[in-house]
Amino acid sequence: MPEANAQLSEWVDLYSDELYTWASYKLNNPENAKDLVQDTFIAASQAFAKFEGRSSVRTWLFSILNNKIRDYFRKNKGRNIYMSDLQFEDSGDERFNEHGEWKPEFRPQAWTEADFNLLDDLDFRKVFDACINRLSDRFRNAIVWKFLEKKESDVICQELNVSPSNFWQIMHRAKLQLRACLENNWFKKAE
Amino acid sequence: MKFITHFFALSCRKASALMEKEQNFKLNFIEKQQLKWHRSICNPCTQYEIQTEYIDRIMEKHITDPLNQDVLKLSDAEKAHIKELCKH
Repeated sequence: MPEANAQLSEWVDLYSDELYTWASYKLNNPENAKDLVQDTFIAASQAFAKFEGRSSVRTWLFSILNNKIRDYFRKNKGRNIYMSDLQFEDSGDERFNEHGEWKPEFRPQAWTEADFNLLDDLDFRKVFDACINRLSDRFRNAIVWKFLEKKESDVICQELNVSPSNFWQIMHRAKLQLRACLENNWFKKAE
Repeated sequence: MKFITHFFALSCRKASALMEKEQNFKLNFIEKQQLKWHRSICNPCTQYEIQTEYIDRIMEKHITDPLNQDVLKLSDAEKAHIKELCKH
């Protein structure tokens, strides 16, 4: 099928960087992102005859990639979320004293200028990304998955194969870290 | 009275965790009362709650909006490799 080959080559030139950027960001792992982009084009080449141009090529490729990303998260869920690790980490948190009160240096301060226009600020986006990427893999995967899928938490739990109490504890730990990271790297500096 | 205060008392660590539970699932009656009580007396946890809700909403938007990402590039060799794999 020379026609299909030529067409696919063109799509690789046009869209592969964009797909790769998207996947790297979601996965936080460039090597695995490359594999998924590759798989996306292979799937596209196999389904080429079925693509009827009802959506744009770009939309079509992105929908294939997003399915690959979902599969990736599903496959990796067992590796990345272990209950035993969580219990270990949950046993002592450096932000709280022995009575479970905030230590003075970790006590949440009021944030000035916390509004939604911040998302238009590229520097803020970079800090936000950096803070997400500093989370451990299982925290990051859980939180990214939750916001990517926009589903009810009990559905997310099934998909990630964690118990509800495990899930909200993961989210709690992730938010503690994320909040502190944003405060230290953005909001304190803004004052 | 002492018993009652003790019954409703919650550490900040537990309170901030229950906020997460509340957001994703449901609290039982006792947890609800504990959290309500804690919110009314603890300013740092109130701040914490405002901020994590803010983070949630920002996260929602940020994660589904790839516009502001720096574009990463595959090398020419990698692209050629993909093209090769796609050939029938």
